[in-house]
Amino acid sequence: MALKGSGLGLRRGMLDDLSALTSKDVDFLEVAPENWIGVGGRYGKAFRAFTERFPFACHGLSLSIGSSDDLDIEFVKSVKQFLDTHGIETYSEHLSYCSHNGHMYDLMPIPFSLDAARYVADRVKQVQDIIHRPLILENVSTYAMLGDGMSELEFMKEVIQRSGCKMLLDVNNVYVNATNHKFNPDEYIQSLPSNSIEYLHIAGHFDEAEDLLVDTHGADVKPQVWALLKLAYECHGVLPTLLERDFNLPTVTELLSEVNLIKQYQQEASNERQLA
Amino acid sequence: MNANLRKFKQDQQGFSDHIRSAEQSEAISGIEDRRLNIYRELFFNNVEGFVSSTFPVLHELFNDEQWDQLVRDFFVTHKCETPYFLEISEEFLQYLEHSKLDFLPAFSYQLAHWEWMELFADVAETNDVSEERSEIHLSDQLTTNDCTWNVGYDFSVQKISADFVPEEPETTFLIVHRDADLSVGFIEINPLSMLLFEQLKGNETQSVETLLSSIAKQQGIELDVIMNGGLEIIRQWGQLGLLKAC
Repeated sequence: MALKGSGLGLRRGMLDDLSALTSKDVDFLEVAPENWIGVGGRYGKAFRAFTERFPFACHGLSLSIGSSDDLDIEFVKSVKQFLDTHGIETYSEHLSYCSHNGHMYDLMPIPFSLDAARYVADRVKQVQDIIHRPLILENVSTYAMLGDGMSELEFMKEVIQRSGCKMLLDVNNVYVNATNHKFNPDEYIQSLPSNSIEYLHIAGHFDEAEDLLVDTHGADVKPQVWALLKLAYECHGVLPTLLERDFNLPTVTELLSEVNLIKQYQQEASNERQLA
Repeated sequence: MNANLRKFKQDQQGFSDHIRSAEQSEAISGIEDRRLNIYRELFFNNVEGFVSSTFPVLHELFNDEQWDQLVRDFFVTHKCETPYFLEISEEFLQYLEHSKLDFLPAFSYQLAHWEWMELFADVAETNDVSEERSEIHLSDQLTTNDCTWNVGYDFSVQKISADFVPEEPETTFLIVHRDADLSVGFIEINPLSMLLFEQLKGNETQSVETLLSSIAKQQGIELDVIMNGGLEIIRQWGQLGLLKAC
């Protein structure tokens, strides 16, 4: 099922709280396949009940597309099987690496360069051959920049262009990185290739310092980030958008009211596009 | 691999080494320490979270400094192979089995294994679902269903807590079972019952009567005693939903 509208990340600890969720509340849900592959018992059963009722996206964590370690082909095949089993079309991952001589379970910044972009694009193609669909890569928050000075925007565009992959545009990560590495977030969003953007993420962050933000997914979305969402819709169309909230979880009502805000922005942007 | 990719690999080696252990690796020039610190903390706290959520009893046996040292040693020295988050606990178990830290009690690995069993049983993908058998006959050909798991330990791991730390070993046999409502429970059994359970587990064609007779013979115990006692236990297990037809 293709995605549309507004979505919410589904976490294992929230399954009971969200059991009464309907399509009036959200249009789609998202999970990390690494948390659900091979999971049976009560969680597997509850998960199946959700995948039968809602369109889903898979947002992976362990692919480590940017790593100098070899790709885990068996893992990619397992993801493909999982997608097929649950009828999930959308598989996104992070333009990052999370392993070096072993898995480290969080995201490290790829050292940017043209050669690195080529290297990553080759791996993306390998993955796409296995999963039989475009891989969707998300711009990740970073707190350090390595590489030869190539910008994140150039790197992302290079990987997309060389591999034919799609993009998951995380507007909070754009804001965080624009602050952390001093670039213009509006220009970043405006410069992206519209046809390549598949869907969006939005989330909250933590202000470590005025010039250093941390992508915690543990707070309400900031006004400046809502503004970037609006800009993204203006530039690239009203794309499906998911709210990510992983820590300091509020009540379901509060979560859904933030999802509702997404819907409002989408409605406004649609109206404006119709008037234009 | 060309020179640029070699540098690419070296950069990743240096960065990941630094995240694992700032003390044991080289500094990374050109990057503020407060930025590197964000990575160090995010990565370590993430792993610590996974470990402490699966091993809460083990956690409560140590003070903060010891726990930090334990998780850090795992984080720095153990190469994790699994891409799956729920299996990080298995990686920790593997580490614990060979850990050289001197403050670990003798029962540490077995306690952790017991705690891991609960997670394992909760999420295992099996074809069977537990079904109650209210009647057992001597002629029944029974085996155990796939939602039961038997384990043996040298310590009474199921009793351990911050308030009860065993000084001496105590051989302990336990059966973990996932019920029809998918909740996980366990029972403690004696060595003879454990033997019976294992016979049932591997059983494909033998009747209850045959199984009990061979146990009586093997163990040199009176047939009557085994028949009555054994049948009673099998009935209990049937009611708990641990058994199915061969």
